[in-house]
Amino acid sequence: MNELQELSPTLAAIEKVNVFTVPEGYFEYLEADVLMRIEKENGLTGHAEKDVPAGYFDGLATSILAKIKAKESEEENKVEETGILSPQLSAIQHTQTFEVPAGYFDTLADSILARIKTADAEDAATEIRVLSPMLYSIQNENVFRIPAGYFEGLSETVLNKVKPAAKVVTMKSRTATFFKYAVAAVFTGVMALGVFKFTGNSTKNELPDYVKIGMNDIKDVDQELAKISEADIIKYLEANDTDVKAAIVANSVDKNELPTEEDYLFDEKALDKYLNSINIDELKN
Amino acid sequence: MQFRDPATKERSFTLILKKYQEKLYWHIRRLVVSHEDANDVLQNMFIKVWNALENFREDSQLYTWLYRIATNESLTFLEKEKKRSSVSLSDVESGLSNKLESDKHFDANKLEWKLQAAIQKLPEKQRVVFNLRYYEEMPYEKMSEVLETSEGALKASYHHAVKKIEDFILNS
Repeated sequence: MNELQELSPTLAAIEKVNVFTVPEGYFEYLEADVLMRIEKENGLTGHAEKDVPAGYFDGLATSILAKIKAKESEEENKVEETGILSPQLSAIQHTQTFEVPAGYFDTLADSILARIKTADAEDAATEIRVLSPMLYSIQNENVFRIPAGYFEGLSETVLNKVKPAAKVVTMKSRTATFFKYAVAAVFTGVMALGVFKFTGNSTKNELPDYVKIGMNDIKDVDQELAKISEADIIKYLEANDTDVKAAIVANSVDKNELPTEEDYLFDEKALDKYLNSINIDELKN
Repeated sequence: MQFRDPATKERSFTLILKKYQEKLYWHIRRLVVSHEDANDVLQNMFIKVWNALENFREDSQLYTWLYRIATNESLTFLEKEKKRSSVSLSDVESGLSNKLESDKHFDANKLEWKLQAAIQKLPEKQRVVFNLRYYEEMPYEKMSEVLETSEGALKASYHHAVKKIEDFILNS
């Protein structure tokens, strides 16, 4: 004051009065307002000053570090716990027993992607074309060979194995040949008898020319008979009281398959049973 | 009904045989490799079909039923070969590889022969899955009925088999 009096008596004489004004209650809420701005600028949700305990932020870092250390300690304690309960289990705790094929994880992503791509491919051709164009290109190549005519004979081979007792007797060429000669014999026999009866002669040289011509024609009977169906031959033989069954049995069946003498002794119906088994009636029809 | 009536059973059986013989033969052949073995297995298979025909439930599909029998007969044959030889499975697989290589038309440089060699390296069931899908183009749904395995498992097995075969061919 003495200094101001000496410097300027005029200024020293002015009464010290604050001419500036502030809003009502400004200083009372100033601290809370400042803290709120700080929280907003730092991205914290707005909490009223009264929700945060005093000294909260001061101790926050320390608190978090302490929790981290506690968690680590807990894990270690678990291991320690296992070791206490069972040293054997603790020793193998991280040992993997299941094996995974070599390169499994290396190709897993590709496999999954391939499956995703082929998920909509319902047909096998599209699927293999996506999975492997190389394998797709050779899909129809067949390296394996089979004997000629294999499939043509397979059904008969299998049928013979499943039904050996019910073997159907087929009219094989030698049976057909027998029938041809049986008919030829009947025919020529009738012709010869008829000729001799008519002429009264037994020597060919004395036969009339028309007979000689006829006998030459008989040599062509075989050719003519070849044109006749087997069914017609059977009907002809039956009409002439020829034992068709006996003819078939004699010519088309292996003798070893025939009933034996003992069979006949013990079973008077042995022949009938055998004939029924080779389906003669089926053959005739 | 036609399978139970003796009068029609043989005719029905013959029709079935003629219709499916080639497909089933090739399915078996690709598993057992040699024609002689395939012929034996195929005939045994059809004899079993004959014996079981009367009991076949006609509501289930003949196609899948036949393939199931053929597959089982083939795997049984391979199992018997394994026991007969009294060797490990890997040696049986080597035996099949040897049969392959002993084929007079075998050519190790040709891609299609390499494919067959690769197929023989697969485990038996995976070999079946691969053959049915790759050669027969059998839908997974049908394959599931034949092999009594889920479609998902079959698809995974097939995809894995394709990868293995491709790797074998490219590296051989």
